[in-house]
Amino acid sequence: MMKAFARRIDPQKNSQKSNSKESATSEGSEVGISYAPPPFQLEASEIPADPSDPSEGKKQGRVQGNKSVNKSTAHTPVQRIPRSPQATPFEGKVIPGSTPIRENPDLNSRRLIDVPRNHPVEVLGGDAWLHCRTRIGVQDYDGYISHEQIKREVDFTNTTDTGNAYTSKLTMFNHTFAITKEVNFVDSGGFAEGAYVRLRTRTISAIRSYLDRKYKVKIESPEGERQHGDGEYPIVLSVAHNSSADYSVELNGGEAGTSYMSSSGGEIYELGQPGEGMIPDITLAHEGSHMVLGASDEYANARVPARVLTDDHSLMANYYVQGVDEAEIKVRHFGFLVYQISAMFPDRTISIVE
Amino acid sequence: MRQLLEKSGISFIVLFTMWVSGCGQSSEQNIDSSMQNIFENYLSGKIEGVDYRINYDIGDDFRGKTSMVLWGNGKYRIESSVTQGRKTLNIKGTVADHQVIDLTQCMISKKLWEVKHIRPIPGDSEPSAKITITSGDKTHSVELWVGEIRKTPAFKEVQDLILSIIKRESNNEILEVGR
Repeated sequence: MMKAFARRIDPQKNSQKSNSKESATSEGSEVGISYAPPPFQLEASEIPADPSDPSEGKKQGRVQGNKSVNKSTAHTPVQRIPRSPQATPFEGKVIPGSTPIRENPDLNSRRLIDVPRNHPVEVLGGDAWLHCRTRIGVQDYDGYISHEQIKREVDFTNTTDTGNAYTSKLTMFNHTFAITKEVNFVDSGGFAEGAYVRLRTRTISAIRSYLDRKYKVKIESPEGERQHGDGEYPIVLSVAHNSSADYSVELNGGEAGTSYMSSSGGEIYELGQPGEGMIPDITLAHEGSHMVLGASDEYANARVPARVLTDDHSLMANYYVQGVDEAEIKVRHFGFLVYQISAMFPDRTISIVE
Repeated sequence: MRQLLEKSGISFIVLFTMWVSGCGQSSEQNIDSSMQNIFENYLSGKIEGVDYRINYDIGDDFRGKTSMVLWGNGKYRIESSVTQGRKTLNIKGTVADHQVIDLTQCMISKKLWEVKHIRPIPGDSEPSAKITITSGDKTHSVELWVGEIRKTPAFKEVQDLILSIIKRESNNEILEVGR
């Protein structure tokens, strides 16, 4: 069964949103929104069609391209932006350890300085060699960097129905959209030897297991005419431990208790709820969905009377009642991406599909 | 005469100002001390045991919840789904008077009425824990999000006493840990 969360963009209207709250009730509906011009276009349309597939035509070709995305590139995202970003300026970041910014768009041109990894640069335009500006220390540099050395990522913030706001990163690669969050997992004590690292690793794995590559972003041209960038892009999701990250989660060893997340941080109890013995993966993934996606709970809470309650085996609902084995993240939990990605493709139909 | 009127006027203003500011203070003090007054009136015998009630509520339907109501005469009712297999357990009975007295003295010594939230809103998946004191038509309560309890020793120590009653009276079938 195909499920999709779709938005068709109406350029006459102008209201940007990045909140997943309404997604649970507006699945499949059309919303008019407009955004800034696209900073660049993705390259899924350049994925070659499967020659063994006898079907022809643009629509079938796109499906073939999608199959290719899933099978051949799903685990090897190309970490670079297209050679000719279409809407500039935008902020990019350097991908490798460092890369030179050159005086002219030429490999033999004079090297102005090496720009360190993850250093922000303002991309002004260009073709293959991108015209960039950046500041290192107190010195401004204006030159050219190869498009292969730059990625684009944006921070997005979603607010749950309790009023807690969570910020993660959305990075656009050639064949995937990546949602990432760096978390400082803090050892609050009580662990047996090695158990803190095991719980930390298990938390990251559980979140990935429930949320990574479950859905794709689908970009379509509305008139049926295929355009550069149309296609399906797997949504990859990951959490990484970084002791200097802004967001902290305390891991409590040897104790049972209620794990939770909030704007200012979260807590996870190694033993889960009393009687569980060990926190189940589903709870780790449930809490991860709060802190990475900003997904709201979907079980009844008198304190939140307007909450959207669900009974479709959602990871965010009461899975103790609806069934742990059936619980899964739903397409609506990625609905906010439609707004984010529509900003780059204002004339396309953006949807989230299985 | 004029001086007298002026003096009276000034005195009136001074008195009125003191009365207004006093109102604010006494209102504030009432809110802060009324829970304490109930405790002291119960301990001194001014309030009958049947007219003194302590409610403890923690959790939610998702992760499990526990509720206890304990009267001043030692009678109690407890309901909890924080059990092995999440089965709801209901029990009622009576504890010795001194246990209610000990709990009340603990709430006084820890100044339970001063407990306040650390964060303005609860986290996601984060239920609350609430202690409510009732006597007649007067009800006073303090509430924390469960993640705040460890950082609020006054509440935690009172809660520990409550949980010790719950565990003992349920023969440890109720597994509530209060966080």
